[in-house]
Amino acid sequence: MGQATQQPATHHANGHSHAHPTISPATYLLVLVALVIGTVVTVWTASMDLGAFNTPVALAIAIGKAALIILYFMHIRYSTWLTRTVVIGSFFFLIVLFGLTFADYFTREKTHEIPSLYSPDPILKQQ
Amino acid sequence: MIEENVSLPRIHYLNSHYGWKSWLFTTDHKRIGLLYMVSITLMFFLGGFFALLIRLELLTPQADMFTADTYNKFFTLHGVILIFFFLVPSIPATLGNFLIPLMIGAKDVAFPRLNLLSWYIFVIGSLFTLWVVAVGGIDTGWTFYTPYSTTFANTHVIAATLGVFFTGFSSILTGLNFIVTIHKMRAPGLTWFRLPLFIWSLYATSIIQVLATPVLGITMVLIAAERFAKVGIFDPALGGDPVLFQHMFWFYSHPAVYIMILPSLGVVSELISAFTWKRVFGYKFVAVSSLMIAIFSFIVWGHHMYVSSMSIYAGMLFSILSYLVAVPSAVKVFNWTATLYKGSVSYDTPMLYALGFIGLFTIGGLTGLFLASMGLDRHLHDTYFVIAHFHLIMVGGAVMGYFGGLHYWWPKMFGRMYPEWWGRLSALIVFVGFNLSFFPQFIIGYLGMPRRYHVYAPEFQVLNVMSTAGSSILGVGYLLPLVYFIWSLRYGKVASNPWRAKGLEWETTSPPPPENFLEQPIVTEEAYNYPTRPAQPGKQTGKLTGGLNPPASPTATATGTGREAEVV
Ligand code: HEM
Ligand SMILES: [Cu+2]
Repeated sequence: MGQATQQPATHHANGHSHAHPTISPATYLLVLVALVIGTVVTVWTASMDLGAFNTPVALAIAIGKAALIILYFMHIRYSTWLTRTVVIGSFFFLIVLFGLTFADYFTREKTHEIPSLYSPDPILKQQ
Repeated sequence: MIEENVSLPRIHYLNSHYGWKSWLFTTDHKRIGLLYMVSITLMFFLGGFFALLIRLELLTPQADMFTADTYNKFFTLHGVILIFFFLVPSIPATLGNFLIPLMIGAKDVAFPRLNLLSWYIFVIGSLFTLWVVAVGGIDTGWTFYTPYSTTFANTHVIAATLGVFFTGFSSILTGLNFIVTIHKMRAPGLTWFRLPLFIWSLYATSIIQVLATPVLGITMVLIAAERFAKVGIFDPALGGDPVLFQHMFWFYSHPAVYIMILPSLGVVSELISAFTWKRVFGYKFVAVSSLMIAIFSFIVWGHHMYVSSMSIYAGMLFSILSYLVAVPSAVKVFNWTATLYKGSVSYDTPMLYALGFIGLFTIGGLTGLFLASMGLDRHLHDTYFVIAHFHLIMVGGAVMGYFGGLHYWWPKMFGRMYPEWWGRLSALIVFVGFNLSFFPQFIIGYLGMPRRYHVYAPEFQVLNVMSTAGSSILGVGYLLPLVYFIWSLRYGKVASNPWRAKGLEWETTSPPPPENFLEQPIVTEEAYNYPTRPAQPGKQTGKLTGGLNPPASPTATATGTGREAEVV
C-alpha cells in the first residue's frame, strides 16, 4: 500500500445544504432601533431609584437586548436546534452564575440570624 | 521486547515536509499537538523550577534564601505558570489535538487554521507571562484576589492578567474546535456510545472550556480596568464588592480544575482497558459520568469562599452541592476497579502511571469532601492541607494521567518505543517522590501551618524537610522521561502498536501519514471490543501476569489480536 488511495470526491454530500434565510435590512433596522431605545431606557432607569427593583429592572432590560442580538444579529432564530440548544445551555449556565451569586449577595446581611437559630454562642449573638 | 519485523512507514507526518516553516505554518493537528507539547514542556520545567525554590526555602523555619516579597513572587509564578500554561492545556492541547481526529477516524480537526491560531494565542499569552518573570514578577498568588490585586499589589498585575486572558482564548477556541470535530467528523458507524472514553472526557472538558473560560477572561479585564482606570467593580471604596471577584474567579476556576482532571480520567480509562485487555466495566456510566462531572463542576465554586464573608446560607447551599461531585467521580473509580478485577493486568509504564493515578485521585477527591464541609474548612482553609489536597488531584492526578498517556501514545506519535525499564523506574520514582512530598503536607496543614508563608514555627520542620526531600525525588522522576523520550526519538526500538491495543488510532501506521488514514475507516463494533479469552481450566483467573505484554504472534495485525496467541 505504497500510495495514498485517493478519496472519491463524492464522499457523502452533507445532508441539507443550508439556505441562509436573508434577513431584510428593514428587520435589522427595526432591531437596531429597539436596541437604541433599550439603551436609553437603561440609562434612564439607572438615574431613578426604584428601590428593590433596581437590579431586576436593569437585568430585564439587559436580557431583552441580549435576546434581540442573539436572535437576529447572531441568526439564532434561523438556526438548527443543535445551535439553539448550545445557546440555551450557555444561558442556563449564565443564570447559574448570576443565581448562586445573588443567593450569596441577598442573604449576606442575614448571617447574624444564624447563631440565634443554631447556637447559644454569646459573642455571635451580640452582633 | 516489542513487535518483530515492524518498520517505519516511508512517508509520515513528521517527514512529509521539512523546515521550520513547515512547522510554524502547519495546519496538521498532529504537528500542532507537538508544538503545544514543546511549549508546555518548557513551561512545566520553568514552573517546576520555582517549585523547587519554594521547597528549598521551606527547608528551614527561618528565611534563609529569599525575602517575603521574593517568596510571594515565586509561589505566584509557580501557580500561574503551572495552572494556566501547563495544566489547563496539557492533555487537551497536546494529546487531544494529536489524538481526537485519529481516534474518531477523521483527517483533521474541524477548523485546522483556528487550531494553529489557538497555539499562536497560547504562545502570546506565555510570552506575556515570561515577560512578567523577566521584569520582576507578580505577588498576588495565582488567584489574583482583590482588593490586593486591584489596589495594593505593586507588581506586574496587568501584564500577568493579560497573559492569562490570552491563553483563555486559546483554551476557548480549542474547546470549540473539539466540540465541532466530535459532533461532525466521526467516521461512519462511530456512534456516540462507540466513542472511546478519552473522547467523551475531552468532549466534557471542551464544554467547560467554552462555558467557563469567558468569565475568567472578563474577570481579568475587570481587574486591569480597575487598576488602570479606577472603574469600581471590586473595590468597596469605588462602590465595588471584593467578594464578587471571588465569585467570578471561582466560577471559572472550580470548573477549571476539571479541565485539568477530566482529560486525565479519560486517559486512565483508555489505559485500564488496554492493559487489562478488557472493555471498561459500565462503559456508558463512565462516559456519562464525564458529562455529569462537567455540569456539577459549575455549581460548587462557593466552597472556596466559606471564609470570605460570603453569606452562610449560600455556604450551606454550596456545601451540599459539592458533595454531589463525588458521585460521578466515584462511578469512575469503582468501574475502573471492576475492570481490573479478573483482568490480566500487565504492568507496563503507562499502566503504572494509571494505577498510581487511581490511588492519588481517590485520596485527593476524598480530602475534597473534608474541605467541602463548611465547619471543617474553617480550620483547614488556607493551610497546607489545601495545598496537599489540590496537589494530589492536580499533580498526582492530572500530571500522572498526562505522563501515562504520553508513554502509551509515544510509539503512535513517533513510531519508536521509549526504554521500558527506564519508564517503569521513572513511574516508581514519581510515585514515591510524590507521596513523600505531599502526604506530610496533610499533617502540617491539619496541625495549622498556613500556606503562602516563607517562615514557620520550628515544630513543623521535620515534616517540611520530608516534603522538600520528596519534591527533589519527584523532580528526578520528571526529568528522567525528558531524557529518555528525547533519546528514544533516535534510538528507540521501532514500534507500531506495542500494546496490541484496539482503537482507530492504532489502525493506521505509526507515525500516521499526514492525512491520518489512507482509507476512510468504517466502524462496526463498540469501543474496546477485545477478543474474549477462552476459559482456562485449572488456571487461576485474575492472575497478574506482570511484565511486558507477550510478544506478538507473527500474524498479528494492526487491528490487534496478537494476544490471543498467549492464551490459545
Ligand atoms: C477532582 C478534581 C479536583 C481538583 C482538580 C481540585 C482542585 C482544587 C484546587 C486547585 C484547590 C485550591 C485552590 C486554591 O485555593 O488555590 C482546591 C480546593 C478545594 N477543593 Fe478541590 N479539587 C478537586 C476535587 C474536589 C472535590 C471533589 C471537592 C469536594 C467535594 C473539592 C473541594 C475543595 C474545597 C472545599 C477546596 C477549598 C479549600 C479551602 O480553600 O479551604 N475538591 N481544589
Ligand atoms: Cu473547587
